[in-house]
Amino acid sequence: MIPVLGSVAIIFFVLPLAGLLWRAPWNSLWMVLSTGEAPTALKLSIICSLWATGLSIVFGVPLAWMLARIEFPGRSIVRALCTLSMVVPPVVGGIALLYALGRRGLVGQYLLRWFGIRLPFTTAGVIVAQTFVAMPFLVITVEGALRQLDQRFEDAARTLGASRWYVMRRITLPSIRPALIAGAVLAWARALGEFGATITFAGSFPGTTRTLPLEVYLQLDTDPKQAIVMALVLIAVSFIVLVSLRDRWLGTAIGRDR
Amino acid sequence: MSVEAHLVKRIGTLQLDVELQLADGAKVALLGPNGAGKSTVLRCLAGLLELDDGCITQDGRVLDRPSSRAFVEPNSRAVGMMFQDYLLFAHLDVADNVAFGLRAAGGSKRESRRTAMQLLADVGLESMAASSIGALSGGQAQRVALVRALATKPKLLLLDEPLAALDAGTRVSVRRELRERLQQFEGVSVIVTHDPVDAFALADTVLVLDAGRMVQQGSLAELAVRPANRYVAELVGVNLIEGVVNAGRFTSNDGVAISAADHDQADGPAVVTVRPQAVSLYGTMPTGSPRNVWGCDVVELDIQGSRARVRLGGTIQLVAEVTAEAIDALDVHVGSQVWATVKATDVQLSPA
Repeated sequence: MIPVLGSVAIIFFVLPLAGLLWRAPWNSLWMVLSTGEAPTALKLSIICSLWATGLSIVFGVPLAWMLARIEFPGRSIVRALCTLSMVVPPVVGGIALLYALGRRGLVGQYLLRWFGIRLPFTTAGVIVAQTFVAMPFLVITVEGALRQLDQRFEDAARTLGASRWYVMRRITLPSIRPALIAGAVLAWARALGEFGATITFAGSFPGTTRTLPLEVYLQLDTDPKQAIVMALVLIAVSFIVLVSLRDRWLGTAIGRDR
Repeated sequence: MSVEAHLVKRIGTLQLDVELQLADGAKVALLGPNGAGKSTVLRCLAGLLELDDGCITQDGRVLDRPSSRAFVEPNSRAVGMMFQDYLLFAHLDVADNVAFGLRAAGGSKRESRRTAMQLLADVGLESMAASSIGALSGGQAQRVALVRALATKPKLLLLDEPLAALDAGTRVSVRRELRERLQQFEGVSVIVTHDPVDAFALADTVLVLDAGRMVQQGSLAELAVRPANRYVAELVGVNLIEGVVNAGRFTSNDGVAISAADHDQADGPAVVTVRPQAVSLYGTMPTGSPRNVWGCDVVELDIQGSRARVRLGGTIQLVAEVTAEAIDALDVHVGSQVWATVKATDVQLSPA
């Protein structure tokens, strides 16, 4: 019984992919890819998703550390708030960002008035939207690893004369490296595929905010062939990363989360 | 005085309140049951735990005094600590583990590693310098952990159960080595252990902790004569006699032959353990089965309720625990002469 149900699940995941492959215009693949909107959108997607991953690491690792190591009142509520964007529909997240960082938003109006910074409908806005939905993946992965880590190793390093920062750099981070990599890859994949928050907060301007997923959606009406090719590119990139990570990093990281 | 401390700390159900005065060169064993607060003492001294109250000073420098909000971070204390399971860093090789403290102190990568190689060579582990931690045997890992803790030249060395993770075979040689290292160490050593034989080998003073309080302090010999309570009596109140096994026969360092029952002890340094309850006293020289019979003088007498502890001198230094009735019947008093006997089956022989 179990193999039958499991096989149904496998088919369920493989079938849509097969559908895409079946419809793909194999003869004109390169032409479709190298002309039109695809290269611009792909480039924008990669730049924005890498920025989002970088920001997720810079701010997400300290956040994960705080959640794992510092006892403060309302910690579980803070954790829920910081990972909310993982479960909330991305469109809702985009609207929320608009009211917070938009031109008339809670903080956005001052950003514009005082610093002249305008986030919505800019490439920076795409990065903000992607970071917003992607960072929680890194935070929960890294927090799990930090909780799993035997803190006495850090104690030992402290007695050997290492400052807190030195311990973080030479003991803590190297020890959670697999989880850090897994978390960063998950966050990156999420940022690469981000659609709802991006289109709501940053709009869909070719060259500045129209990332690959947005392009795929728009081309579905006008040029389905191009949409399919771009969809395949997205799948290929993600698939290559997942396979190259294999069980080595994802497996251990998820195993650590128990 | 090198280290003076009044440690007050509450963790869960443990309420620690202990005063310590540790002179330079002192080797102190902390003994006590699980949960007595032994490791907490070490963690407070290392700065891994902040005191609730009290004070720690090292060579006059205040390390921790909550009343004046003084606290020196562990990395700024001249303290080295070795943990029970060593806690060697698995992502670094052996030499980098030893070099860790030197690098943390600002040493260059090359210089620190060179020093580490030298320190490893001193303990005969230079060939393992580039090995991963997993490649070390138990005894080697212990040595690396000790070298790592000593690399930064601490003035206070804290050892948490340094021999507990070793199997009986390696334990003996590692203990002998550790003893030598500690004798060369000029600072203060504090050794947490639960084994009186380890305490005997490594330390010159024993502190017995129970439920966060100091129960007794002194040399093992002193504790054996006048144990403060039943617990101390059972834990450390044993007779430990150092000597040598030669051709299967044990002779103490004072030249007294002691027969042990069948044993497989190889020739070499050894320790004999005899429980005071196993020592019987007679007014006249007994005849019959016991093989260990010595004429002794009564040096000290301590009667507590129905039990009495008798410290014997003369041929052999021994503590006997007998009933108060026996004391009366034999008319034992300080200065009187008695015959002490111990059955060979009550003599425990272990390697030193």
